Parts: sequence; structure tokens; C-alpha cells
Amino acid sequence: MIPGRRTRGERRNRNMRMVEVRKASKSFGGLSALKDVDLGMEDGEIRGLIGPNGAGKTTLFNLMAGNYRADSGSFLFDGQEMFGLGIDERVSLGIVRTFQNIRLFGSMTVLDNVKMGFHCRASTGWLSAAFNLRRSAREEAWMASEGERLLDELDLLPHRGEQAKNLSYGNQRRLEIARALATRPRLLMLDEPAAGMNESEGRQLLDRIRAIRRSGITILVVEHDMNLLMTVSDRVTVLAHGQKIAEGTPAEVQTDGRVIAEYLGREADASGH
Amino acid sequence: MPGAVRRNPALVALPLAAILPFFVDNNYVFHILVVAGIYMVLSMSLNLLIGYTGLFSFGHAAFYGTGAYASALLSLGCGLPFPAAFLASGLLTAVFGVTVAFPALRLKTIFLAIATLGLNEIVRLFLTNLDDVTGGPAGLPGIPLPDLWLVRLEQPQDFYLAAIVFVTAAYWALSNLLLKRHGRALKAIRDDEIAAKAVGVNITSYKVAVFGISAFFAGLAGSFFAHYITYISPDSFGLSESFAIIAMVALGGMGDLRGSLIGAFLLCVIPEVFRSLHDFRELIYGFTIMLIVRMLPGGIAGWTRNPGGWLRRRRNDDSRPADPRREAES
Repeated sequence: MIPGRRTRGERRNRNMRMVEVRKASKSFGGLSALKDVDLGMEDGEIRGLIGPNGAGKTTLFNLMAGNYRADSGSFLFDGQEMFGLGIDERVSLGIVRTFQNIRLFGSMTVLDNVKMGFHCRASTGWLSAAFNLRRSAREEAWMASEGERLLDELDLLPHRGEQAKNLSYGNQRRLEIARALATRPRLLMLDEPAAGMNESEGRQLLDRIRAIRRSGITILVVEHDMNLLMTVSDRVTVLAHGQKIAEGTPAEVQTDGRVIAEYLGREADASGH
Repeated sequence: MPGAVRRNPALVALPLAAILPFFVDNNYVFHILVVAGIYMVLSMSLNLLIGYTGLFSFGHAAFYGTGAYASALLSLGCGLPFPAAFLASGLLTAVFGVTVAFPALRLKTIFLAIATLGLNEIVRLFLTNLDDVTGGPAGLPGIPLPDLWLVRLEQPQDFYLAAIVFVTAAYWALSNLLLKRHGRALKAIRDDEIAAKAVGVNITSYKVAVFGISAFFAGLAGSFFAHYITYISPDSFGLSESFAIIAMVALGGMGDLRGSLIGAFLLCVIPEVFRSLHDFRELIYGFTIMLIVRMLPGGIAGWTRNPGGWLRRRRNDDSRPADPRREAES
């Protein structure tokens, strides 16, 4: 056990939802990308986030992960305000993301990539490392064994010594998830995890997402593959033109008039606007 | 420790060099090797910035000179004994490195390179024009020889042994650092800054820290140099010095500490072995950088990992434009 690691649910407030985004807005030089969007997620939920191109999915995603600064609104995570915190602080509080265009540390080995995920849970300092003190050596050993366990779970163990950039596409996607899981997240945000995958890889991903949820992690998925998204999500939030137009179970959303209008390109007034 | 030695043959090879005085009795040889030792520490510390973190710092002599002058002034002006002046100059240079890092980190790639080049000139001009403190262009003579409590370093041979301890200690500390999570974080920043951020690495604090550590070791090297030569002047810390160190890092291999040892050794020894080349030192450094960057981007260390790879890669590069059909198919 590494000292200083936060135990799960330490500051948990029972009345609060795990994720509570309120009136989040973001505009880019006068172009409003996101306007007063709310998003509430329960602990342990899988939430799908969909919308046509330019709907603001990625903007919302980037606001929550900390890549963008919100113009206004708030984002309570477990009752604590996240807007204003740096990415590294959010990661240490348990929010982690993956990228649509995979971002690995290409020149590093597969195992080292996962060890980078543990980075934020480690505590030894520069001096301890430079003098090779026992504490630092113990922590490195812990990262190595935990990292191998995680790679084993994601069927990547045989590749542990390879450079990440030499992995196949599907393995790179899995490695990115492994690295994200190594940060011990409580909210995992997946940005188009099935992009570029074939059907069987997509099915595997589906099982994997469910397995991750079983381990107690809340998941937010942005995905273009409608089939996969509707199958895996407990609830779905639909964005269009920077605003939330629908939210509910996959079945509810699929029959929602506004959603159909948006996706089939009919005029909004057809849905009783 | 035994594990560290097994992973690091250099940790055996460096102390083994201490038997040389049993076979050689030539002050000139020891002088060259002491200088090589100083450059080994300098290129390892620069490699930390350029090779491991991808921060193109082109003004390393600024830190080297800061350390040298700090140590000289502390022992001449304040009468500090060598060990204290040595450590203090390292720490002062580290503080200077951290101070420089904050504005410098707003810049990337070539812009950082230009800014650090400028820094090098600023430091040199300060040293030249601050006559009252630094002695101006005439420099500081009469820096005391190191007194290490029981032993006093006087002959090049004494300094040779001290340099071995110095280089080995620096190599040991830096390789420990780089093998562990901090080293990985630096490489992660080099590979993909956005991804490094996404797994919780505080980019700014890491970059600032690595500037500080790099400056610390460069400062120690400067102090060692000052007390060895006993006379320093601003000329020793100009741009050509920075480029010499860059050439050593490039020749040895970016992102490989052992490579830096080899690169520094070769570029110190070669101009001495071929005495006739001595006047062309700077030309050699310039050509080294150009040739390495063009033909052997991984340096010597990269080449030993994949010998022959550079030939193959170049052939591929050349064949690509010659056969557009193949490119269209793939």
C-alpha cells in the first residue's frame, strides 16, 4: 500500500450525485459551443453521450476532463467543484479520460505506459529516487507488479516489453484504457473508444466496459457507433447545437421526437418545438 | 545496489578507470581525462533536458559558468572551503535554473532554443561587464585548489581520481532518477505532453524541476572546473561551449546517459589524439551535430541498440520518392 493514496469514497456525500454538471457554457471567440448544459450521473452508471457533429460532445468532455476552461457553470464531482482545478488535480481525485485519436507514450514500453498511469498514485520524491532509497524501490516494485496484473487483465501481458507505437491498433486502444485504469479512476471518460474497431473488437470492448463498471467505476462514453452505445449505456444524453435536447434510457431516447428530428435532419418544429 | 550494478555496466567501468594511474604517469593524459570528466557531467545534465524531456536548451554554458563563478566567488570572497563552495554553487545554479525555467517554459522547440541561446549571451555579458564582482574580461585568478579535509588535490592525477568519483556519483544519481517514475514522466512529456497531462503529470512542475536538476549538475561541473583550472574568465562559458556540449549529447545519443559519457569522452579525446585537428575543434563539433542529426539520429547509443539500422532506414527514405507507384498502393 502506498502512503497518501486516497481511499475510495472518503468524502462521499450520500445526497449528492457523483457527477453534477450545472449550466456549463463554453464559447470559442463568439461561437457558442456549449450553452447551459446540465449533466447528472449516478455512482456506477454507464452514460452515453451522443449528438450530431458539432453538437458539443467533445467540448463538454474537454470541460469535464480539464482540457478546456469553462466560461461559466459548475461541475461538482462527489460534491467538490472541479472547474478551476488542473487536469493533474482532477486525475488524482479520480477523473480520467482516453483520447479519440489514441495518445500513448510511443517510445516507451507497454509496461512503462501503464506505470505512467500509476504515477499519480505514487508519492516518492526526486531525492528518494536519486539515492535509490528503499521506499522508492518498493514503490517501483509495486508499480511493476500492479502494472503486470492490469496488463494481464486486458490481455496485453505478452506485449509488455514492446514499444507502445509498435502495437496493433486494437492493442493500442486497450493499452490506453489500461493506462487510464491504472490511475484508479472513479469516473472514466471514454472518447470514441470503438473508433476504427471491427465488429468483434467492438463486442470485446462492450464486455470490457461492463467489466470496468462492475469494479465500481462510473463511465461516460462518447461514441459514434450507435449500436454499441445503445447497448452499453444505462442512460443516454443527447446534445445538439450545444444544448441538451434529450436524456433517458436508450429506448426512451431512440423514440424521442427531437432526437429523431436531429438525426434525420428534419426541421425542429416537426417535434412540436 | 547489486541489481543497479548489473543493469548499469557503466557503474563498474567508471570506477575501474581508477587503476589507470598504475600504468600511466603522464600529467597531460590526466588533464585531458579530467576535462573529459567535467564534460561527461555537463552532457549528462544537458541530456536530461534535450534528450529525456525534449526541452531544447541551447545555453547550457550559462549554468556551467554560473556554477564556476559562484564557486570561485564563494571561496575567494567568503573563504568557504571547497566542499561547501562546491555544493553551494550547485544549489545556487539550481535556483538560477528554476528561475529561468518559469519564463522559458512558455516557449517550445526552436523558440526555447533561441531563448536559451540568448540566456547564454546574457550571462556571458554579465560576467564580462560586472567588473567589480567577476573581474570582468580578465576573469578570476587564484581560485584555491580543493582541500578535502584530509587530502589536498594538487596534481592532475589527484583530480583524475576526484573526477571519477564525481562522474560516477552523478551518473549513479541521474540513472536512478531516470529509471524511476520521475524519469518515466519526463519521457512521457517528451512523447506526448497532452497524454502526460491526462494521466496526472503536472507538466510545469516537472519541467521546472528538470531545469533545476540539470542546472544543479552543470553548476557542480562548473565548480569542479573552476577549482581545477584555478582561473576562470567569461570566454570559457560562451556559445561555442554550449554547442560543444550539444555535440557531445547528440553524438552519444539523445535520451541515453551512457551515450553522453561516450560522446563527451570522444569529443574531448579525439581533438587531442590528432593534435593537428586541435585548431578545428569547433568545426568538428559543428560537423558532428550535422552528421549525427542527419545520419544517426539515435547517436552512438542508438546505433549500438540497432547496428546497421541507420543504413536500412536511409535506403528506405531514398527509395520512397523514386517509386511513387508503391506508395500509391500502400
